[in-house]
Amino acid sequence: MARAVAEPDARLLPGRYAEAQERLAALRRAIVFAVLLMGTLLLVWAGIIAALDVPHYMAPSPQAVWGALTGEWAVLSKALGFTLRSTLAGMALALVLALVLAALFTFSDLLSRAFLPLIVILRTAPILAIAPLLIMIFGRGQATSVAVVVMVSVVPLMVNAARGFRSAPANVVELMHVCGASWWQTFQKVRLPFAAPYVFTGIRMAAAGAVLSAMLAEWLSGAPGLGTLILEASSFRRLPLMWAGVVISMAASVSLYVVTVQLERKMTR
Amino acid sequence: MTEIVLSDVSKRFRLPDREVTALDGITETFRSGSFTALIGPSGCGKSTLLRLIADVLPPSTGEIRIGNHDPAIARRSHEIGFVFQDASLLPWRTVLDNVSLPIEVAGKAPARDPRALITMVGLAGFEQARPSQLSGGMQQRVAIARALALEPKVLLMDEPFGALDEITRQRMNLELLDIWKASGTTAVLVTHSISEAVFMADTVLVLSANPGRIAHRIHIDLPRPRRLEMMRLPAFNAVENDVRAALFDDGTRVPA
Repeated sequence: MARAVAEPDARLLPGRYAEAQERLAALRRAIVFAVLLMGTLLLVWAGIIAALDVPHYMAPSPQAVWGALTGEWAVLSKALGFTLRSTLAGMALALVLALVLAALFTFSDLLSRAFLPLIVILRTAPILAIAPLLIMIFGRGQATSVAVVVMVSVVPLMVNAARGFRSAPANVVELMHVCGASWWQTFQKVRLPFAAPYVFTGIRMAAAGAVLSAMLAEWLSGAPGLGTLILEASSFRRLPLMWAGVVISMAASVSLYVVTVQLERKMTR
Repeated sequence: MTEIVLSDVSKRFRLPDREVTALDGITETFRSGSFTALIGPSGCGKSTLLRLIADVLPPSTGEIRIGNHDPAIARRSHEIGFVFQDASLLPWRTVLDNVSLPIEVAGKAPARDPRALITMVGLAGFEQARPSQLSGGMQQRVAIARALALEPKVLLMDEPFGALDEITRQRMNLELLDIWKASGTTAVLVTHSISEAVFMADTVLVLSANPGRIAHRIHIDLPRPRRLEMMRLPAFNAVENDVRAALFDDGTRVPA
């Protein structure tokens, strides 16, 4: 019954293969750049140690750190595993908590006004001050680390998620309303997907600090992770081992960040 | 049969420092299967009126009936289709999934075949395309197909073609008239364009601002189906001039 209006051609749309090729080339360029940069930094480091004849008790050479990395790998990997488990468990817990809280705040203005300031204030309290309390509640094991990671991660996650839930265009929300959609349908079909980029921004922000918070918790509780390893290596002046721990913790942070970025790309296409 | 009846409807908005009357004393019957255009200066409450009918906002006083029931019931039984000025598509969904959205929400028939709707709005072959791959006119066609997915008895359009160029707009106007005729819905169109209002509608309601009231009702006696050539006829221009005179006759004219 309807006459064809204009006849646009679907074959002119860009293909998936071309897009994938372009992304792959960009990834290769990024890797080459990173390797070159790391290599240069290591050379400069080794050069300075050698040229200025820095004593080994002030700063170890890259070779010494490498030696510690390979020689003490068993100890390091065990500590890394402990810290990573705390970090990941804490972030996962924080993410669930943040999404639920943010959804509640989107659902009710009253809840938002009542609890949001409270949560933000709680976050501003120094972890150092709360730590003794946390240790008393959660003990000197992994639970305290998880709790600290949750406390540090939950606010950026929640603030971003709440902003994301509100970022759904008013017209789209109205459209769902006119279609007779329930609050849950609108939330699940519109608000949640619109919030995805914001949630990932929150994850990235939280990931940057999560490994550090887990290590901070270990410093305070003495749980056997990378934080404790670094602290002990420092007090025994085992500088190569300490720096190996630092390098590993940094690598863990960067890896976590890269994984979240990749996940974000996959999920928000 | 789906008549829309407004009896003495008003809408006031409370601002921090004062109260604004957006609409005042609107009494109007939109006949079943008719096509009505709303035109008026900015801030006359055209869009608000549309949102009152769609149960997005409650009226402050007065009563609205769609068919024989309340707008809230009409909305929940999926009798209302709404087209916004921007297409308001979900960017991660394909064209097909966007058109299917109301059917998913309703979770039941009566629903039209989304593929047939896409063909009807001239987008066959684009079922799997994403909104970002489409032009503005194509996106708006998707929005219209989506609004029709549940065979609405009432089709409300808030300047649906406002962002389109003149050629696309006229094509879409013709297309929309065909769709409206075939579906038998009661259509209400908010527009800024006098010629679009005259070309599309049976009745043009001219609203005045502050507070929003119906200032004039102009019946368009041009024969249907409407054709683009009609826009050159003296009769068409005469009606256009009537609407123009009504529109500028309400104090919005710049003083000489």
